[in-house]
Amino acid sequence: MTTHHDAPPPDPEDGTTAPGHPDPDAAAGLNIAARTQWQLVRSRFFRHRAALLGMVLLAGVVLLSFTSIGFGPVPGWWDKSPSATGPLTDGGDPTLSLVPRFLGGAGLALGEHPFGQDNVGKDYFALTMRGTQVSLTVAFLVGIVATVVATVIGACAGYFRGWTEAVLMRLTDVLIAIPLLAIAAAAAKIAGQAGIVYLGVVLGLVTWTQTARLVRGSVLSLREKEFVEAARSVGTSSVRIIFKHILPNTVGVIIVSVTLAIAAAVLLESALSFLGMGVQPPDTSLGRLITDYRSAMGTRPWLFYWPGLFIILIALSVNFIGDGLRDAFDPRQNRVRD
Amino acid sequence: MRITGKITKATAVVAAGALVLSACSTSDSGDGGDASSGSSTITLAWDQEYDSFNNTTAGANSSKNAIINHQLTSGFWYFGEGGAVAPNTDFGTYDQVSDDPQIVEYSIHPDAVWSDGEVIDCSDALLWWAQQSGRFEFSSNGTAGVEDTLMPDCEIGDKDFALEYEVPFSDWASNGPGNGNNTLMPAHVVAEQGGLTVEELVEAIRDEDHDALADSVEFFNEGWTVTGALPDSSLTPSSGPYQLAGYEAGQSLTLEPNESWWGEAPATSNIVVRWIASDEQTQALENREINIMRPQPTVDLINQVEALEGVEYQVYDEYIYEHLDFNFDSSPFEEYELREAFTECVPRQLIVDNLIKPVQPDAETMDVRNIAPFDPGYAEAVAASGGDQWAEVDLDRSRELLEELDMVGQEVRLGFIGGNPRRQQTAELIKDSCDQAGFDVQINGEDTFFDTDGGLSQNTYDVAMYAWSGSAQVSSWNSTFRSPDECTGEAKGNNNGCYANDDLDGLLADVLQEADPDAQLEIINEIETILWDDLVTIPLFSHPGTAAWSDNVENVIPNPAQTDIVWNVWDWSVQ
Amino acid sequence: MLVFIARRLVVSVFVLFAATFVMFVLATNTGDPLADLRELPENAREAAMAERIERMRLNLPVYSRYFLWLGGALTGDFGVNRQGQDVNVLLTDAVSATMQLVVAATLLAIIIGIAIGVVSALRQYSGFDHSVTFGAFVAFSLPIFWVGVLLKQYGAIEFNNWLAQPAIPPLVIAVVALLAGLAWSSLVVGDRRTRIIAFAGAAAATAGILTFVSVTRWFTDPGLGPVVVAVSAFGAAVGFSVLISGPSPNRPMYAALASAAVGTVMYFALSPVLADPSLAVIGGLALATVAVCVALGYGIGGVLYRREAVATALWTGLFTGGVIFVDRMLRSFASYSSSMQGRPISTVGARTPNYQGTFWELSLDSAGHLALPTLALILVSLATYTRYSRASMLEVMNQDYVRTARAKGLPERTVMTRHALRNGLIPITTLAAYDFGTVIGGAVVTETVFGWRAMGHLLLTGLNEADPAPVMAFFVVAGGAIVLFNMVADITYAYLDPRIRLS
Repeated sequence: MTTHHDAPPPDPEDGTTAPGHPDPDAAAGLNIAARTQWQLVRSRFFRHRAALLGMVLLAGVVLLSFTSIGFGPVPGWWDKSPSATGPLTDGGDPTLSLVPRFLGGAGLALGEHPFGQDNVGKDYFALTMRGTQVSLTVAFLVGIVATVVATVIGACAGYFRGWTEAVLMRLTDVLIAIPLLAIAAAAAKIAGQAGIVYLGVVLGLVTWTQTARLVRGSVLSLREKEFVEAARSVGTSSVRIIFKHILPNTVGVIIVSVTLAIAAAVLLESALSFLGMGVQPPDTSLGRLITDYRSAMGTRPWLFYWPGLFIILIALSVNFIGDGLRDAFDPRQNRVRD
Repeated sequence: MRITGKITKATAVVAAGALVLSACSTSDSGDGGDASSGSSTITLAWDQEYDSFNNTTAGANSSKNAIINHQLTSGFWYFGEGGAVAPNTDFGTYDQVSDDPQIVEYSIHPDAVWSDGEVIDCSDALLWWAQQSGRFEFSSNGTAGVEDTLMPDCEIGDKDFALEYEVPFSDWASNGPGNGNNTLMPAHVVAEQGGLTVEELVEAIRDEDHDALADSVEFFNEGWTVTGALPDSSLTPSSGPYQLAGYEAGQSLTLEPNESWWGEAPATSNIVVRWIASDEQTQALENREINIMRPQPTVDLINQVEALEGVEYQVYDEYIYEHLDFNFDSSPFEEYELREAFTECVPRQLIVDNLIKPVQPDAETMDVRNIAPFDPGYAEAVAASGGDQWAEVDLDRSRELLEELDMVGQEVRLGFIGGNPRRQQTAELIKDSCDQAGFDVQINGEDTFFDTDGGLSQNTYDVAMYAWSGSAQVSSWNSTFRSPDECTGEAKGNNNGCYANDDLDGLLADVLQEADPDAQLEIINEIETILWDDLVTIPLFSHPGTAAWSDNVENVIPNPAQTDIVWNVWDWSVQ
Repeated sequence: MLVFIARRLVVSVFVLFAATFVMFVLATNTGDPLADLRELPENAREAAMAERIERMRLNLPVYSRYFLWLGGALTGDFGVNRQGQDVNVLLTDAVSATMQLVVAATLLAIIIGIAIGVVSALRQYSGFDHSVTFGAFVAFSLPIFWVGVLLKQYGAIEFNNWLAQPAIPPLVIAVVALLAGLAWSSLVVGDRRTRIIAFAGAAAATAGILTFVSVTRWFTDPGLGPVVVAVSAFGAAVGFSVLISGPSPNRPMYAALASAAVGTVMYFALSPVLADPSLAVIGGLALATVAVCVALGYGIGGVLYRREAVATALWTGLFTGGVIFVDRMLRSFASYSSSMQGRPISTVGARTPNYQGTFWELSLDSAGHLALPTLALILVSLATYTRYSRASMLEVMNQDYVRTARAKGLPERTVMTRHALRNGLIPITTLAAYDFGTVIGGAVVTETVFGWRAMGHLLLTGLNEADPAPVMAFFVVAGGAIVLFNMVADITYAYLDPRIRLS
């Protein structure tokens, strides 16, 4: 897993080497009331069919995983727990049937264990749901932590320039120089068995670099704008300028970036679990399930395919949402019509 | 670990795969001579890389080295078919000539030479003794047995020597130089690398001149390490049927027949060991990139291997057993009734049914600790000690006991080493069952469980789960139940739960000195009775091993001893 | 510019040093480096621990260990690992294995990715474009180890099984032909009739080739033969000249055709030399090809078309050489396959141990081991390059200078190749530089799935054993590559876009 592959690339002109590019849409947005800009963004987003589909899919997966087996003290509607063992029914074969009766199937039915059972008779649907919850939780934590760190560092570097910028950006460069997988694996190994929240936070702390560069680039161009100049001239404090005037205008960059960071985090977590350095038992994650049961691919394929399917589903839908958001915030790419 | 396969903590074996192999030597069966032509090759997959020619040292004593060094060395005895100690007459003969004092005489075969032509003689035996007795700075993987012997009295060039015991030792037959991790190392190489002549080396050992030996010791401990390339071939003379032929770092190692080997030539001319992670081995076997693999058995693996065409596999017994250890030092389990309540709720039968039977259909719960289920005397020991009454859970009885103790909801920390799915699953089955009875089992799988600052040493568990690996030798498990002086990580040795019982200590001492096998069994029955009556540990099951090989390879015979699959490599032949 | 480069260089060195320190501290804290020794019996434990403490300098504080390591690393000595093995030796082997994997994968991903991306940009919103976009998103969302396991099952084991009786089922032929037809019909520009013709033509051609391959059991003893080699050579000659200098016959095209002809003749003439060449011979032949083609282009092109003629001749010559190379490898396939018991595609490792054979058989052995991991790595990089080059092309095609070029009546081909493509590829060159640096670090998972003991193995064992020496060796190469290539990318970009270095 590498930085380059984990997320669909942003537009080339968002590249970190071209920080000085003015952003015509952000600039244009200044002349229009904020509400209107949001409406524009929203309407553009909802026109992006893939993004809508991604939204629906992701909401479905989140709802399914959190309502089915419940979370924390909240019970779910599925009657089996991911930790309850039991005797194996029919070798643990899945009971899910999707072939209707009139086509010679067993009819549409969930059955006792729709996704089958694992070695010790745990319900694999419940396990997959638990894995999905963990993977989603870790991914969103990574997204949030990375975004907060990236925004603060990027905004400070871009706004204050000078020494602050030099120090912060060299810090970013140092982290970028370390292959993502290496630093993530080391961090996850040290975080060890402290739990998924810790894992998510630690991974967030090492994956913010690209976003920080983007935020900085965006802030760099904004700080030269007249309205910032105006705010400064009437004595507005730097903190207020950053939070009230600059960050709201970089929100597009940030939102797109956080979305893609989440999609990348799903895959990063699963890769680390594959290498034995992510989520530790007794808890599980989608990556762990695949790792544990990859030798079952030939004999009990459901143990291998279901978690894989959910990883792809999550990553794909988040990527689509990210793409839709990017088009919504920055529609230049779609303007070419032959 | 001791040459007799002294008990070791089972992660070394099970989780990390650091199997400790003991000795073995040439075959007497002599089959498969027709395959020794030309360029036959058999490829064995292993998951860890070879890193030392000398696995008699503490640091290098693991299966990655043993599977290879086993073929490069020979000695007076080996773990033969079925894991029994068998003398190797190709290498020489030995016998106990006196009971009091106990003296064993050894005689090296007259033709025995190193592959570089040097004669194998007394100087090699002296170096072996110097190392194994622990009286010098030579690193060694254990000194039990040899530390109680006197220095052999022989001259350079002698083929005969004797070991005289100061304390009787019942496992004397497996205490002399064998092969693999307790073999003779070449004294002439050690002397030369230490800047000495062989005479000076022997002299220094006799005079216990530590300074003169310093360079030799350094070479012995470090000089045979494989660092990206094999040591120079002049440093690695073979005393076994094969010698080192080729090496590619990270990829493979190749063995070829030792031209100077005085016994029967091996059946296959090239043995290639390829280093492949265990998860990747099945597909490699299916794709015919390897011929033999020895993975940890899982249900999926068995099913998968079974479905493969042209692949044979075997699930076999091993001298490794899984068990629960109560903490007698700092846990609520000091209370006998609580141990009883817990034993009543541990679903031993269900664990075997769910986790072992899918792999080994005729598996049963293991009902005593110190005799393997496949060894003679097992059934008698079970009957004598009453170990057969604990297989099924009795949740009502368990709850009743807890209520009497007023300990319903008692938190119990189940500690074990992380990273092994089967052990994780066993823990989940125990938790599920015992929580129903009224315990609150905390599953504490830690990667650091065996570390000095980990759970087992620091007694931060209430009940621990791990495996012992051993052999049929009584000396292999003796220290496990000896009362410790004090219950610290350093002092408690193998008795991790710090159970103390003077009667038991007496029986343990007796069994070590009892030479008659039947009388030994009697004592073991008494030991097992105490262990069950006091519920010291709960044995769960005996670990099955698996090997799979393509059907064009013959004579692959798995072995319950630590030599496992490679004990008879020289008999392997390929069509 | 020089000042910029110097400044960038100093910063890079500083960054690399700081990063080594961060990594070193992390690597020393991933666990207890003595863990395994603590299980030893008492009498052996102390000596073994003392030995390792001294070897790993555990009695010193972390920063002293770091500076000692740094001191060694600066003189090219990466120290020893926990077992006392020389890390330099381990690293040399690991780097060469990883490079094989990464270089092949990156080059293929760049070439194929750009081609697909550019075509899909030129045909924006066509069925092809939508499929490519969707495919790229799926590729971004695949866990690579999951794909790896599937590839081993279906790309190696099942494929090898199939090779025993290499007949293609009619249904597969039909589906592939249909897909090929759809792809071509969505690529052509024109009315419905043109599209239908393209569909039918492509589908029929694909079906024909597959049926031929299936019926003749081509895969049991593959090879291209002189006819296919000649046809590809002349086809390439025409193709390159159309791209570079236009569709009407002209001097560059004659040069290309001449080099195709020379190549075809050489196919026969060099037969004995190519039976079992050495790598040096192959290299020499490649140089000779360049020299001959440049000469042909120079001679035939005349003063006016010299540059274009050299280009067309050179590309055609190299392409023909490549086809001959592939043909030779394929012709050794049968003998290689039989020495592998009919199972040429492998699932683990970088090569067959102790394998001896001709140059072609050894190449096939490498190829058979490289095939699947490369495929897994490509899948993801390919998606990146496709998306980037598509976006970049779309961006450029909307620029004023492209519109101007069209407006002044230049043919579409010229507008695209001269104006759009060249400028559109500038960001891709920097992307490639960034990507190559990160992909070395990212190959860890792929190496693990396919049992390559390469750089990833150094990293993972180092982390698992809390042994910084191999981790740092990994880092110096992977992190060094990232820093170096980022610097190269920045400098390239600054060179291409002067605004950067002035800001």
